[in-house]
Amino acid sequence: MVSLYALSSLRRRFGRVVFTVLGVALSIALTVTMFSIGEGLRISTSSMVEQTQVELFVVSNGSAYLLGKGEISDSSELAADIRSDLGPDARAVCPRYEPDRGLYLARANEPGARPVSARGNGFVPELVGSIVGGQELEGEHFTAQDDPFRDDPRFLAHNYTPEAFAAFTKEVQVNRELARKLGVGAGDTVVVSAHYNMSDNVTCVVRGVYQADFESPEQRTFRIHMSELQYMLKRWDDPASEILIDLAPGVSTDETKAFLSQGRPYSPLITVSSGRDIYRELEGVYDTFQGFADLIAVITIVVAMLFISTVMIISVRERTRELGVLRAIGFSRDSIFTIILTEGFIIAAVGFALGLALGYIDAWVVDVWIKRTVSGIPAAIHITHITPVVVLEVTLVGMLIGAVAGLLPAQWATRVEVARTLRQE
Amino acid sequence: MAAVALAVQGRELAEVAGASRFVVGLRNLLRRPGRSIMTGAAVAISMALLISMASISEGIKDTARLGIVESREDLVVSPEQGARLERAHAMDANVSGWPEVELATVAAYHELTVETTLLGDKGVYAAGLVPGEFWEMAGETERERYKGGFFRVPDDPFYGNGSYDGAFTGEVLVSKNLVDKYGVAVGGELPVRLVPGAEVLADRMPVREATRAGQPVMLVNLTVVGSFELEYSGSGFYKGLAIIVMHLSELQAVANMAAENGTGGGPPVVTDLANGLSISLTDTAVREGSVGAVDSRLKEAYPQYADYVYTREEQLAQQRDEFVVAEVFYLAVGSVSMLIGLLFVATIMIVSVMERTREIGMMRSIGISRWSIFLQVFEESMVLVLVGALIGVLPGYWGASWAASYISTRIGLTIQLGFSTAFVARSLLLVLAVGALFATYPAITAVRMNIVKAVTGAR
Repeated sequence: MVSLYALSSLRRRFGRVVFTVLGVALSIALTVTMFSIGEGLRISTSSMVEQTQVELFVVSNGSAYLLGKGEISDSSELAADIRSDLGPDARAVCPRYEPDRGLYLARANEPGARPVSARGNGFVPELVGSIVGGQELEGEHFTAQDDPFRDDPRFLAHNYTPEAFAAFTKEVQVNRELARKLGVGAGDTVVVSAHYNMSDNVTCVVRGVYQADFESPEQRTFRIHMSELQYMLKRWDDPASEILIDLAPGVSTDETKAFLSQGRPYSPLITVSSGRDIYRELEGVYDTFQGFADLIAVITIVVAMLFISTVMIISVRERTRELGVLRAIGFSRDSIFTIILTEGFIIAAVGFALGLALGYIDAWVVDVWIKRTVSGIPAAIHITHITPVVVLEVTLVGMLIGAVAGLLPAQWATRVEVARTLRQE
Repeated sequence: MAAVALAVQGRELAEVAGASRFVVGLRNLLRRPGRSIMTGAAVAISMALLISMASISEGIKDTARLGIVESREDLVVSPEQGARLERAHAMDANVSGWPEVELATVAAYHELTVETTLLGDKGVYAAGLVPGEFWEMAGETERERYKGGFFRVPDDPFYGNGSYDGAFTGEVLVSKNLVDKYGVAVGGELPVRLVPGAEVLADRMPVREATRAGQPVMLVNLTVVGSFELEYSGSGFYKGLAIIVMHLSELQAVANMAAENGTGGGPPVVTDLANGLSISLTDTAVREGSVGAVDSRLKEAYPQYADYVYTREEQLAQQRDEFVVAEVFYLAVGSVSMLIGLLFVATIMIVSVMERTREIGMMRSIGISRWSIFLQVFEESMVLVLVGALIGVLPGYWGASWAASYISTRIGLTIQLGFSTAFVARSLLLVLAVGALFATYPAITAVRMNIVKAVTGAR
């Protein structure tokens, strides 16, 4: 009865009700998007770091992990030292060399083919162990699990000669974008050189195609045995960009980090960061953004609340007589209170539902659009993510709007004085 | 009484137009101060949000744009995806000889480790350039950055005749945070480590050997000749970011970008790697529209860099793409908030029109035209929008300044606000234009009223 009356009185003021609902819906949609942005970045970054299974990242001393790293020399030796120091505590200790300077690849047996630049990613397959850096899309792993060229006398003697390439394993994996650009897939052959003119080149088999989580979709990279990459770039100091450590279950990340950072012979040469440290470097940026987004949401919500409560108060005031009559024919104060509260609640609820739907669409559009427009965003990152927490927060906001919309005017409506109201006409 | 007041007001309306109708509208608004204040406040808040959002996005865009617009670069070759310019000095010399080319200059970048007195080893970004050419190429704003001292040797003597054996100046400019936080002194020395692999040219540089943490390292002492400001405020995410600037070939030599070991243990082979070539064309060439021709010639002569040649327009377009996200995002947020504010105005005006059904009917019956009534309601809405918007300007500016300082402390990126009279005028115009659309609806509602029903109160 009460809600029927509330509905019919809303229908009588259809125009303003529609506008008010739209206002509430827009503010809820904006709130959903704002809240979902921070969540998306936060969740996808931390899950990206977690999924790699890497607990500790070792880089050269004085480097901030995300703001560029120097290189670690004698990395195999260092990795072996770390491995023997950690013993069974480490499941994998894996050096990885990704020089800034790229190499050139071209399809084999095609004299006119234009070389394509790409960054090499040197590693030793058997050391990777449980560490994951993305997904294999096609093909298989390297057949040589170790890094055989490392023992080649010419590598050991720092003697560069293209004839030594004959001793390479001659296998690479290419990432999706490089495979697309070269037009190759698993089983095809490519020519690799450090120079665009393809001098000193080596023909390799493409073992597989992969997509790494940390890489953006437009980045071109290829994986190759570490010593072969070092030799092609004439680097004799066994450089690595980082050493990744996967700890055994139950081993404390912080204690291991402290152990490696202090008192070991190599401690002064390295900086050890945990996944959490790296995440923390980004967290400040995310938090700033989130704070900003929250503030925008709050301001919009305040405007929506002003909106709905003003409209509701006006609606109550113009019905002073009507409410007086209702009271006169026996409606209790409570019933009047409930009628007005219901009206406010209906507006807030419809606005909330519409806004939530709009917010979902909006968050999806923002995610797709930003990732398509901005280059350099890793494939595994989601800009927006509507989590249960976001929905809960927005529901609370919706309830708050509903309460403000209903309570104040309803309170006001119960104070209508029957006698005076009726006497006025 | 009410009817008399109405009649008076009606006559006023019938007789006068323009500014006076505005006054009547204002009076109408004042008759319902509560709701007018609420609506005005909502518009003001929305406007404030729109203005702060837009001025931040404008600021970011303008700062970046200025660098490109002011610089004399008509074309740049800037390889990506790990590619480098190879034999960069030779390329520079070749391109500089083209008749359309006024000036061409090469730049290189690499990470280096410097040793500081206060805080020990520090990873820095190093840029290498030919000072004189760089200065010629740079715009006013860029030059302004180096008022804290610049290189004394304008050219790049260490390159010599192509074998990196000339005079090593050792001059270096450092970002101000190295001076403030790390104790690097202008006029003093700054030891920099040779990047592994760079020892191939060690005998041609003033290298000294030292032991760090039990490991032998090679150091070159640089002389700090000046410091410059960064747009990074030195806190938050970018707190560790420091930059040094060196002579091109000296950076190349230190960073293993100059030469590599020869085949079979032979003498070093010069690689002369760099990251970018900037080209400025002669005024005549630009006037005659030769940019496209030089662009094609570059791509033909250097097919390996064909994907990486950009004209000024392409650079600007690329930059627009990079900023379009921020821009659209901020504008979308601002606009949604503005829409809510304007919806509010429209709703309140609809309510007011409904309440004044009899009044409007009366006005129509004493001969006031539909057009006058339309204008009165329309203007009433616009007064609300205008007053709210004007009130929102100042908080908008405060909001933007607050946001800029918040970003500066938290992330470490200094943002210039794009806040000017023209900008405020543009934002106001935008709000008024969209506001006018929203104001039309209640005005039409008022005009379409049936006079008889309105006056008699019949439904």
